[in-house]
Parts: sequence; C-alpha cells; structure tokens
Amino acid sequence: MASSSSSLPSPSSSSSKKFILRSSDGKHFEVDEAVALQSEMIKQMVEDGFGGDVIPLLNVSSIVLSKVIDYCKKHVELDFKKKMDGDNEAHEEIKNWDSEYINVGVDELYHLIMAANYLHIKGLLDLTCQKVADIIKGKQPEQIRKIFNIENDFTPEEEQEIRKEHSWAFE
Amino acid sequence: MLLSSFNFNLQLPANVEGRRSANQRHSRRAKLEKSQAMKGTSSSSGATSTVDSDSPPPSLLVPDLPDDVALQCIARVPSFYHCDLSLVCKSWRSILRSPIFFSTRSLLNCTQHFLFINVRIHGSSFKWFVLDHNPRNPQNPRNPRNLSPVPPIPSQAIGSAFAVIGPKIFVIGGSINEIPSSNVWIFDSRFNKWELGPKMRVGREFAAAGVANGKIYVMGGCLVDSWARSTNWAEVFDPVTWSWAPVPSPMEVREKWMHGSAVIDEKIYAVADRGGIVYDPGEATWGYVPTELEAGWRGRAAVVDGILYCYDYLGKIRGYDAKEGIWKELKGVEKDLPKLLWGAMLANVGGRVAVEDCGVQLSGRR
Repeated sequence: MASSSSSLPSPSSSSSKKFILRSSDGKHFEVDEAVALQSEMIKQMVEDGFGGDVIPLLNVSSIVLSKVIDYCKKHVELDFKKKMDGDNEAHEEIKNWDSEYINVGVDELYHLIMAANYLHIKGLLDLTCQKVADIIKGKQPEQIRKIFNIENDFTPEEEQEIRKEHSWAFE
Repeated sequence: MLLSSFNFNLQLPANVEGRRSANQRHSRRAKLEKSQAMKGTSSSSGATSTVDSDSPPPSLLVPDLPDDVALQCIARVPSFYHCDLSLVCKSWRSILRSPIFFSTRSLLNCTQHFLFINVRIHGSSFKWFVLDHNPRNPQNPRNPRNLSPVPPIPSQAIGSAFAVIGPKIFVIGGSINEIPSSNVWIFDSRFNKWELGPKMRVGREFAAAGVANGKIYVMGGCLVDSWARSTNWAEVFDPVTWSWAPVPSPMEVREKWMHGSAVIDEKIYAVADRGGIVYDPGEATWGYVPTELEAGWRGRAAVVDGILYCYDYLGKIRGYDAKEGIWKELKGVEKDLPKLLWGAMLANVGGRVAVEDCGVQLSGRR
C-alpha cells in the first residue's frame, strides 16, 4: 500500500543527513532528516543539540514507530510532489492515502494517537483524532461507552433528567 | 400552521472566541457542574499526577487517552450529535458544557454556521428554530436539513432588532404592551440558553442594529423628545466591558423607525421611512445611504463579501456593490429560485446567502 513507486527525485537524496530512532523496545530505524523532522519533538531535540547518533523514543514501540515512519515518509514525499505538481492532484492523493492508512482498529488507533501526541506530529494527530470523531459520530451513548470502555456513571434518574433537558433535540 | 408575514433570520457564525464576561459566567457554570474533567484538559498526560490525595481521581474522558487528546477527538464531532455525547458519562457531559470545549472547536476550525429563524405565529407567539444538518433525516437523505425548535425566548417583544457576535444572538429592544423596551435577551447557541443582557440606555422598537469591529451598534427606534433619548439615539455595546455607551449623533440623522440595516465594510447602513443613514464607527462619522442603494433595498438584506443582496419580489436576487455604487443581478439562480410573492429574507450563513420565504406555510409538525 505504501510502497513508493514514485520516480520523483526524492526531496532528500541518499546523501542527505540521516537520523537513527530507537524505539522503546530497543529497535533502530534509520530515516532521512526530512522524515524525522516531521516530528516537532525530534525537531526541538535536534535544535537543542540532542540530535546525536541515536534518538531514543521511550514511549513508542517498534511496531507503532514503523507505522508512524510510514506516515512521515509518505507525507514528505507528497508534500514535495505538491510543491512540484501544484495543489489539486497531490491533495487528492494525500486524502486517499490517509484514509487507507487510518483504516485500523481502535487499539491501533490509540497507539497511533499516543505516538502522534508524544512525537508532536500535527498531521498525524489531526488524522487520528478525526478518525476517533468519525467513530463516535452517529453512535448511541451505549455504543460509544462500549467501544471506548467508558463506565456509565449516571443514575437512571440523572439520565432521564438530561434527556428532558435536551427534549427539543430528542423529540 | 400559518406563519404571519413577520419573520426574519439571522446568521450565526458559531465560532467561539468567547468574550471575557461571558466566559467568566460559563466557567462559573462549568465549575458548578463539578467538572473533574477540566483538571486534565489544560495540560497533557501529566495532569493526573497533580491531583491531591484527598480528592477523588479525575475521571478520564476516554480511558487510556490523555484528556487533552480525548478532548481534541470529541471536539471534532459535529454539533448535531452533542446531545447523544452528553449522555455517555458525567465527564463527557461536563466537558461538552465547558468553554474549553468550544474554544477547542474554534481552534480546530470545527465550528459550524447555523441559520436561526424566528417566526411569529398568528400575530402573537414567537418561535425560534434552527436549520440543522440532520444526517438521520429519513425523508431526504440527500438534503439532510431540518428545522429544529430552539428553547423559547422568555419574553419577546415586537419589533426587536438583532445582532450576532460569535455564538451569541442578541435580541434587542422591541415593544412590550406598546411600550418600547430597553431589554436585551441573549441566546447562547453553544448551551441553547437564553439570558438577560445589560439593558440599553433607552427603550427602542424597530431600531437598526449591526456589528462592526466586534461591537453592536444600535440606532433609532425611539422618540427624540428628551435630552436622554436625544443623546442616546445611537448606542454601542462593547462585549468586553459588557455595557452600553452613547454614540453621539447629529440631529438631522435621527429617524425614528428603521426598515432595515446591514453592515458593509465595517460601516452600519440603516434605512428609515425616508432616506437612510450610514455610520462609520472607525471614523465616528455619519452620512446618508446612497440614493441608488436605498432605491433597490428590499426587505432583510444579507451582506456577503462586501456585496449587499436583496430579493426583489420578482424572483430575482440583486446585489449592490458599495465600491462601484451599482446593483447587479445575481445570475444562475433563476431555475432554482421560486417566486416568493411575500418577499424573502436573506441571511449570510457562513459566506453563503440563505433565502427564506416570508409567506411560507408549514404543516403542524417540524
């Protein structure tokens, strides 16, 4: 799905700077600078002089990190394409790729949200939060509780009261 | 039921940068609601560790997600579903009624524009509706809109003026038992609640009102038979100080009843029985509405991108370009726009012109 068949010149060729990211379970990932800098947190670390040999990411497992790197790589590639080809086509491609990418279960979605939040990758955080909103949208309160493992702490009387308050909407 | 010929509509840009005093009020309300969730919303995952040992642990909005992230998810859900969300659990209910929820929606650009419609039925009672996007409307899934009732205004006078600032609709003055009132009712669309605002300095009916530079300007609709009413013929409401102040006006502009008003390019245009006036708050100068504009202005007009649009009773919408000083016909709508014999009200809804029939018939149910 995410295989880059693109023949475009890469925005950061093989001669560009590389970073090594270490996941919480000790695996190493070598990525281009542009890919790593999609993360505001890594960017900040580099600016503060912590961008040495290996950047340790204590909160992200290798499984999640590789998925996050997929996202960053694709977006670096598509951002570059957008600059070259103009907006519309690339915009459509980003949309399609994103919707395919985010088509995951709730557990994986949680991990991606946490990683996007920790690494401060705005695009990925927006995408994952929007996915949660799309899951919530149109569901009954009971379904929402079940999906997200939320306890119902209302008494039946309280629930009745709220329904009454919103009676113009529930009619 | 038959609607009388008196109805109008308003644009509600439901974006939410709350004004200070309004915010204070809401935060008080939110606090009263035992908003445990609020503790965790201002900072990220570390929030839970700051709670002292004797207070109960804050209930997370979504287990396993930091509250600030969960808030970003919930805030993206369209407002149509918010009633359902408030039934999920207590922390969701309190977050949905908190100012931070609306400021998050605003930051995320998730706020929506709604058209609120005020209808007078059979000459007496007023009803408020909101034109909602109802994705569950089984009758017409392709155009999922329906009119939902809004809680009734506690007391609505006849001939009130209207203004919208952010999520709030201001219903200004109007006469009660034929006495012009200085009351201002404010509807907060975020909480679906009415509250009484600060009174104007004088009572008014059929006044002109408009918002320029974030303040509400009201003029006319009162006799100028006393010093107080003369000096307060025009007033300005500042939502930051939450108070009214007089706007000096020259004697010759003081018309009593206003037929219509609009704001173009941060200037208030008001048309009266004869002639019309323009007030420029930036320069604090008064002038007259150009004859060309006055001659073509019909009913409730809407301004979108600096063009004032009117329905001309003949099935056409015309737009007045204040810079060029000419009317032009809006092309391309002939096929879809019905002839509305009673005229039409126009409103700017998120940069689009909405057209409402003045003589519309509705069956009993919404």
